[in-house]
Amino acid sequence: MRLRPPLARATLLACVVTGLALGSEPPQTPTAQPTVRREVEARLTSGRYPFCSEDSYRLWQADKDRLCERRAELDADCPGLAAACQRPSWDEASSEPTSPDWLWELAQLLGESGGTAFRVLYWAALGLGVLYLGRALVRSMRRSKSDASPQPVATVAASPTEEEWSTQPAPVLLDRAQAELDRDPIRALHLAYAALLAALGQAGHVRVHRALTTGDYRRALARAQPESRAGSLLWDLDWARFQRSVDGEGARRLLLRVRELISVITVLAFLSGNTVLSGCAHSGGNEPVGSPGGPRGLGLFEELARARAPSFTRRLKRVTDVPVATTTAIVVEAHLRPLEWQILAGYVATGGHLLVAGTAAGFEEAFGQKLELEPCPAPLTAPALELVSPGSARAPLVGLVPTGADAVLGSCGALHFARVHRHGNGWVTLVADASFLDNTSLAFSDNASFALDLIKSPVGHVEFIGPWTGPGALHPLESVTNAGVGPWLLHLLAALTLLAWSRGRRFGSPRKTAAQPRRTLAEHVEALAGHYRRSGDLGGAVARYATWAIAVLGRRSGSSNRDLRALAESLHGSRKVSIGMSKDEVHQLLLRARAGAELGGDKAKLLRAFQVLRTMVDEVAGHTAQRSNRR
Amino acid sequence: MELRDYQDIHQRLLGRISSVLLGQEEVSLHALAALLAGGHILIEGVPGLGKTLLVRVLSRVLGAEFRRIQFTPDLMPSDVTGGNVWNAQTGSFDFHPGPVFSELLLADEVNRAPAKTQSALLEAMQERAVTIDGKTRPLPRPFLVLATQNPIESQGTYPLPEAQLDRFLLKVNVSYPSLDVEKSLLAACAAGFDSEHLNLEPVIDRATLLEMQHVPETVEVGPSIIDYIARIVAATRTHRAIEVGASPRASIGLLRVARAAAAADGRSFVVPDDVKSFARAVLRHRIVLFPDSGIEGITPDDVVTSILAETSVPGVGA
Repeated sequence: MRLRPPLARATLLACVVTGLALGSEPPQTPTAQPTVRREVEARLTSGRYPFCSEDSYRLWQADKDRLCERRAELDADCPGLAAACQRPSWDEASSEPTSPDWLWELAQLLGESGGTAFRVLYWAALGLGVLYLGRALVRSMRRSKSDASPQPVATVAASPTEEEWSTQPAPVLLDRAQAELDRDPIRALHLAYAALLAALGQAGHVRVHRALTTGDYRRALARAQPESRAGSLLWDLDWARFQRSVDGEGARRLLLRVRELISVITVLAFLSGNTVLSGCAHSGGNEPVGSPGGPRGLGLFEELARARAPSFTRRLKRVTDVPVATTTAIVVEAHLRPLEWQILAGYVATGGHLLVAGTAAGFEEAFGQKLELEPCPAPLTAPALELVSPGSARAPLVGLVPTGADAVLGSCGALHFARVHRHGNGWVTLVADASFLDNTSLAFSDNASFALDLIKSPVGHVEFIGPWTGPGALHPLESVTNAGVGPWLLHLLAALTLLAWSRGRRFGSPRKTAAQPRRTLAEHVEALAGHYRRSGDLGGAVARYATWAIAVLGRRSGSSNRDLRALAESLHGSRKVSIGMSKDEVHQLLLRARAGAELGGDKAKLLRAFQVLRTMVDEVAGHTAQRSNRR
Repeated sequence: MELRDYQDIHQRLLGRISSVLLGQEEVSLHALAALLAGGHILIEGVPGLGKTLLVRVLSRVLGAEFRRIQFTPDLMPSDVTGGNVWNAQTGSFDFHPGPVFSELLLADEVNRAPAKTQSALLEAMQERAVTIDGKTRPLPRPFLVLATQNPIESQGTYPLPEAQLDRFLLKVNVSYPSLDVEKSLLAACAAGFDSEHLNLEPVIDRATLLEMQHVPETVEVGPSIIDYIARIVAATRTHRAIEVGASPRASIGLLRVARAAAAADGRSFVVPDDVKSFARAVLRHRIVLFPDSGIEGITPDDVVTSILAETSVPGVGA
C-alpha cells in the first residue's frame, strides 16, 4: 500500500531521527530491578488501585477465576486482592440451589396444581398492581390539575413548584443521620427528617420544598393518604429536633422508625412504578472493567513507563503518523486499521521499536510475520527473573507458537511468551498476553521489572496505543455507530417527530412577537370597565375618567389640575380646543365630571360631560402629537 | 402554671367559644392566642359575621370586665378616656373614668371615629395607661383591646394610621361561613339560640388569665426559629410589592404569638409551624403596598403568602 505523501514524510523523518539517535540495537534481556519493586508497592498502596487496598472491594467473577487460585502469592504481594477473593462477586456462580429446600419440597408436593395456583396468584398480583398504578396515575393527574388552577398570589411571585433542596436519595441521608447520631443528635434528626421527606417526595406523596413546614406536609399527606403514618412521624421528628436537649435513645428509636417507614415507602413506590431506585452506588462494588485503576486496567504500567520516559503520550486519535523522536510505540489490545499498521511498520522499518501485546488483527499482513497463540502449558519463565503468571489453570495465559525469532525474552513451557523480531532497521517485541501488563500482574514478584525492560532503553518518547485509540470513521454514519449514540439519536428523532406532529402545520414558523406592554394594566382597565358596566355605575366611571382627563388636560395646557377654574380658562382660551362653551360652562362641566360618583343618576349630564371631556382630550393630545411629529 | 394545665384550659376556652361561634375556629384560635400573648386584636369583616359576638363570648369565658365603645364620627377622646368634671358641691374636679378603664374593651367600628379620637387609644394600648390633664392613670390588668372594622365602606370612615395599626398584635379577617356551617347556625337559631342573651359561664377568672399570660414566656425559642422569624420580617422590607415593611415590633409580636401557640399545643419549644401559621395575621396590617400593587388586585395576604413561600424553613436543609 502506498502511503500518503504527508504521512510518508512524517514517518520517514521520524525514522531518520530515531535511527540516528538510537541506532539499531535490539532490546536488552530483562533483569531484576529492586527499585521497580519498591515503586510498584508504593503505587499500589497509594489508593489509586483500590483492589489492593480497599476493604470492601469485590472482584468480577472473571477476575476471580483468573487470580484467586494463587491465594498464597496474592497474600504476599497484594493482601487486599486476597481478601477480595473471599468476598462474593455480583455475578458469582453459586453451586447452591437457587431456591431453598423447603420451596423445592413444597413444589414437589403441590405438583401440577401448584404451578396453576402460582400462575393465578401471579396474574392476580399483577392485576392488582396495574389497578394500583392506574389509581395513582388518576390521583396524580387530579393533583396536577388542582395545582394548575390559578392562585391569587401568582401575580406577586412565582409559586414554589421546583425542588430547591435535598435532592439526595433517602438512604444516603439516613446513613449520614446514623453517622451523626452520637456526635450531634439534633443534626441527625434533621437529616432523618430530610430523608423521610426525600422518600415521600420520590414516592410522589408530597411535593418537597424548602419553604414548607411539617404542618403543610401533614395536610398534604392527609389529603392524599389519610391512613399514612408519615404525618405523625414527621410531627414526632419536629418534636424531637426543635427541643433544646435531645434524648439519645429517643433519637435512635425515631431513626429506626424512619428507616422502617422509608423501606415501606420505597417498596410500595417501586411496585407502583412511582420511583426510580437509587442509592446503591456508594456501597463497595466492582470497578468498571475498563477502569485504569481496576485489576484489569493498565494504569500501573502506564505510570511506571511514564516515570521513565522523558515524553509519554497516551494516543487518543487514530494513528496517522508517529511523532518525531519516538523510541518506542506500545500497542496493547488496540483495534487498528491496516493503514495504521502500515504506518507503524514503516516506523519500525526505519529504525523504530514497536511493542505489541495481545491480539493484533492486521499485524501479520503489515509485518509479514505469523502470530499463532495457544494456551500456556507451563508457568512463565525468564532468565534471572522470578515471574508469576497472572493466569490460572481455569484461565491460563496464552503463548506464541515458536517461529524463527531473533531473541526470546520469556517463555511458558515450549511456547514463547515474549520475543523480538527484527523488521527493517528496527525491532518488534511481541508479548503473547496483554494481561501480563495489567495492574494485578505487575503487583507480583518481578513482573514489573520484566514489563518495563520490554520498553527499549535508553528511552525517548513513548507512544501508547490501546483500545482507547480512536478508530476513526470513513463516513458520518460510521462515526455515529462508533460513538454508540445511534439509539439516542433515533429516540431524539422520534421525539422531535412527535413534537412536530403535535404542533401541527405551524410547527417551526415564527411566533407573533407583538409586544403587549402594560398588559396587566390593560387587563385591569378592562375588568374595571366590566365592573362599572355590570353595576351600571356611570357616575363612578365618568368620575374616574374625568380624574385622568383633567390630569392630562392640566399637564398639556400647562395649568394646575387642582384649580379647575384656571384650567377652564386655559382651555377656553386655547386655540386647540373648539368646544363652543363659555368659561363658566367649561368650569361647571369639569366640576360635574369629577364629582360624577356623587351626582348619581343624571345620566344625560354625565354622558354629555364624558363626550366633551373626550373631545378636549382628543384635540389637545392630537395637537401635541402633531407637534411631536413635526419635531 | 404547668404547660399541661395551660393546654387544658386553652382547649376548654376554645371549645366554649366554638360552641357559640360556629364555623370560625381559626378566628377563635387567633383571637385567643393574641389575648393569651397579651396583645390587642383588630378584627375585620363585613357586617353580620359575628365580630361583636366573638368579643362578647371572649369576655364571658375569660371572666373579664367588658365594655364597649361604638365609634362614631363625633366621638371625642374624652368619651374614650374619661375626664375631669367640675363638682359644684365639693368645688373640685372629679375624675370620671371612661370605658377604656376596663379589662376587655370592644372598640366597635373603630375606623368611624376621626384620627384624634383613635389616637386616644394609642397610649392606652401601648403603655396600658392614660394621661388626662397631665396625670397618668394606669389601666387595670389585664387590658385588652378588641377593635372591629368594616372593610367595604369608605364613605365617612377614617383609616387607622400605621402607628395605630402597629399596636395591634394580630389582625384577624372574619370571612363568610360555609354552607354547612350556615345551616347549623340557622338550626341553632330555630332551636332558640339568642345571641343577645348568652348563657355562658366563665372558664377562668381574672387571676388565672393573668397567670396564663406569663406561661408563653417560659417557652423556649431556638436560634433557628429566631432566624426564621427575622428572615420573614426582613423579607417584607425588600419585597417588590411592599412600600413600607414590617417593623421590629412585628418580629417581637410574631415571636410572642408563636410562643403562645406552642404553649397551647403543650410544647415547651417553638416549631416553624407556630410561626408560619400566625405570620399572616401578624404582618397583614403592618405592611403598606405600593399603589400599583393595589390596582393589580394584590392584597397584603397575597404578599405575605408569597414571602412565606419563598422563605426556607429551618432544619430541612441540614
